[in-house]
Amino acid sequence: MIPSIATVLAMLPAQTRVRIEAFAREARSQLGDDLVSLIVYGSAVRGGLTPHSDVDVLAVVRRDDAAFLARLHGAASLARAAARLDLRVLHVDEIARAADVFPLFFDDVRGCHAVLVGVDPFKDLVIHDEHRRLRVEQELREARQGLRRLVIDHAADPPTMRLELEALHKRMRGPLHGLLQLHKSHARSDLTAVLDVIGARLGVDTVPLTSRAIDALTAADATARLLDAAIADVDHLQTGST
Amino acid sequence: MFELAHTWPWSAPMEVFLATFIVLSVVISLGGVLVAIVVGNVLDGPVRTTALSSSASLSSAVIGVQATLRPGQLPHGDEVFVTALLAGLAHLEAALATAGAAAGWLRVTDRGELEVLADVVPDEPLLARCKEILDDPGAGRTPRHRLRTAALRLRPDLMARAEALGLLRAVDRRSGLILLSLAGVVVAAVLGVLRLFVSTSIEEANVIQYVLWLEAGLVVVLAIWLTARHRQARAWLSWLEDSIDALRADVRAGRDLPVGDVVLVAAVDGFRLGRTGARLGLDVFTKV
Repeated sequence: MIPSIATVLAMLPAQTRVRIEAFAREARSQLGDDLVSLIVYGSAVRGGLTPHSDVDVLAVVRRDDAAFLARLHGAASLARAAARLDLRVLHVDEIARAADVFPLFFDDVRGCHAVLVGVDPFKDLVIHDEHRRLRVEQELREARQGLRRLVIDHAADPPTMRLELEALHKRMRGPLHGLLQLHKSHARSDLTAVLDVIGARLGVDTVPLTSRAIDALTAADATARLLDAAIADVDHLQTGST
Repeated sequence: MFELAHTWPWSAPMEVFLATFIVLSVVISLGGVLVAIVVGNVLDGPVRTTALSSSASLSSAVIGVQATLRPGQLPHGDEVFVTALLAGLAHLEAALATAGAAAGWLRVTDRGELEVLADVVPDEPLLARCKEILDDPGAGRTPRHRLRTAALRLRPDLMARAEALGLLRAVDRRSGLILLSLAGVVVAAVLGVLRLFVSTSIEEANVIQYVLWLEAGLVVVLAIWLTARHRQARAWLSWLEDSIDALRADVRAGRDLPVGDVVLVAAVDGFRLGRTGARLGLDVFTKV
């Protein structure tokens, strides 16, 4: 899904929109032709942006020496303070080369972004399923380990455990969506859709993950069941390329 | 003029005249302050903004040269304390306490006392001085007193910086504006003198005199307060308040942020730091 930037900006709060547009103007003015593209991605495009969400912006550049990057200091700090703009910078040559180690991040951006300035650098990107599979497995296993620690750390504080679980679920969204892509499933990439589809596919009840009525320990166990099933699934996948 | 003194309100009975005089003279005196503010703004000239694409702002961002604090650019380093001073002495106290608590050299104990930790030394000279002042037992008994002492002792240097940056008016201009603001009191005094042509009451003359002295005092206090900051400073603070919405929300929500970001919010908002303030133990300063 690649919506027009006008559609994406129209969905943002007015104050945020003004700041993002100002940042884009400033970035173009400061970096000139060495700014290949400026892209909005994440929840601002996918949906689900809350007043506390970061607005994810990716700058793709031809130069990355310190003096060049420092030109963005003023505009980036202002946009961060005013609109929580979270800037990530990639060198244009890095996109194809890093697709093996960032397959899920690139999938996420490629699948749902809007171009603020310049061209779409992800248009012709090839990501191999084997790289996706490895990254999915790595991130799911990291989430599983994080879950164990989370339960130990917050066992005496269920509300905090709930918040930490929600943060973990957000981090799980990417690898679980990646797993669905490996199965050639074209589910939406927002967390609710991903949990619904992956739960149905793996035969795991995902309702306890998101239901506020269920206690934190039960939610943690449900999360563990989902992660275990997803890890077992990805571990046995045969992969190709897309 | 003698004929004018025989028309209303000068010809009115004493009680009526005094009531009218007090109302009129207050309005006229405040008008004088207003005139001084307007004249000050005109003398200040237009507000300058920083075009981020200018090479000046770029060099200041890269090599840390002090930039003039203007709309369009966030403060760097200890410029944030100049900003806090412009917002008010309480804001400077908040910024200093936040800088210390967030960097770990200042702590509010469970008993509500300030504890300065010797083993952490602030990098910035201004904060190092602040730490020394707070560590001095003579700075005050309560945390609030000690913070106020630190802010007051650091204020002259910060005022000099603000003046050099064009954010505080020069002393001669401030003095001129204070004198100008007294013009309203002079006009009010003329109204009172006219009454003396028709009234020989000592009691009434005394009341007029007391009212005028009181108004002159109030006008001077108001003028000192309202004419010190350059128009540029008010524009700067107003712009800054509008430009840190996300940062402010993050600080109040207790999100983990760099020290500089929290101090910036403290400089602009004072001790209204929400959960971050509570986490740093600074909520003691917001409790009455």
